[in-house]
Amino acid sequence: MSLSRDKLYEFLQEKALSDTAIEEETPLFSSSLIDSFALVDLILFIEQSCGVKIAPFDVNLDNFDSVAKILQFVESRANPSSTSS
Amino acid sequence: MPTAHKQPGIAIVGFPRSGTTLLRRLLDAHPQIDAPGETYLLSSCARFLETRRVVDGVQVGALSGVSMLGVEEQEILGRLRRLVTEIRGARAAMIGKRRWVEKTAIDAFHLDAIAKVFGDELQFVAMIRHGADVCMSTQEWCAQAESYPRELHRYVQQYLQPLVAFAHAWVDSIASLERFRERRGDAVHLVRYEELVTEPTSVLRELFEFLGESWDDEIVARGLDPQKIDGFGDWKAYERVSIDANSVGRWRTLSQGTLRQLGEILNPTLERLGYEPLNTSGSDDPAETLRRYQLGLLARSAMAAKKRDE
Repeated sequence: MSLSRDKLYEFLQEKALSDTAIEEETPLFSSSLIDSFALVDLILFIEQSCGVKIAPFDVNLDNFDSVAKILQFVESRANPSSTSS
Repeated sequence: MPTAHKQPGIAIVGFPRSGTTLLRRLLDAHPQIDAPGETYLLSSCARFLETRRVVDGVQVGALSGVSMLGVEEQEILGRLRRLVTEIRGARAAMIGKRRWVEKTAIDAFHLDAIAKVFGDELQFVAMIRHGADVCMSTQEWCAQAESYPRELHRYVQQYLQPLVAFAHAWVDSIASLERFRERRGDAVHLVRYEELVTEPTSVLRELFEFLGESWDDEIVARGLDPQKIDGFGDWKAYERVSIDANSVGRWRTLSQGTLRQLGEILNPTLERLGYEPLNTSGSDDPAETLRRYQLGLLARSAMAAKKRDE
């Protein structure tokens, strides 16, 4: 199972509080474009799409505050060795 | 040229947070219509008629009490009606206007009593808005006011979750409004908030036609003049300086669990009114519910951490 970029954009656009077009680096939660309720939905969406369970310490805006960060985070969970530092 | 309505009074009714204040400000921009902040006159009349059932089904209250002294009910209702129409007529005349509007948020809960007092003396404008948006906005409104209106308090006493309480109140209020429209027919004009904010000119033209008043192209601009503050209003009453649809569809941001819960209450009414129902699909698996709760705590913590860092 995986998370497609198109599905992610579609999900986020539906949760956005305004019609602002969401770009790759658009701040989502820190800009209040999307509220904290939707962060729960986003994480569940990722867990269900990817078949993973996200650890409590991973729930932070560094991982979820933009499309780029979300995709990077998902990629790191799918291939842990590729992004380990 | 529209035909002028013979009665000067207009009542805007709608569940709180349905856009009635915006509409009031727009009507107030008409050169012949006085639509100030909330006076509570209509709902006060309605409360005057309240009764309490006691032994053997006897209804005790002002009307039955005074009628036992030989004063006819119609006499009392007429005096109440004149009290309001004279106060409001005088105020409208004072500022050089011919007609007046009453708009108080809680009037929608007293439609039958208001109709009993005012009969055909008022033209009614009923405002509706998507129930889930109304519930969200009502929750914010009550938090801001640090209180619940008495008309909503009984729902809050019955249902532990405020959004659920407001959903039940909205459903009941709409049912009451539908019955009222059926009885009053042509005397009630329906305005949808979503249409008002997306197509204000056509909605207002139609409304002024119903009221028998003329239209001019400057009404919207005058109605949103931030300097014109006139009477009671809630915290958002004078915040709006332009018409936009930013508040339409906020309910989509509610969590799936809340949407499911509210949808079960709101959907039959939403569908009857032609609004999009809430998505009630999804799991009600206890494990997912618990996971959602856990993530809710983590999400709030993450948001707070971000704020601290800023």
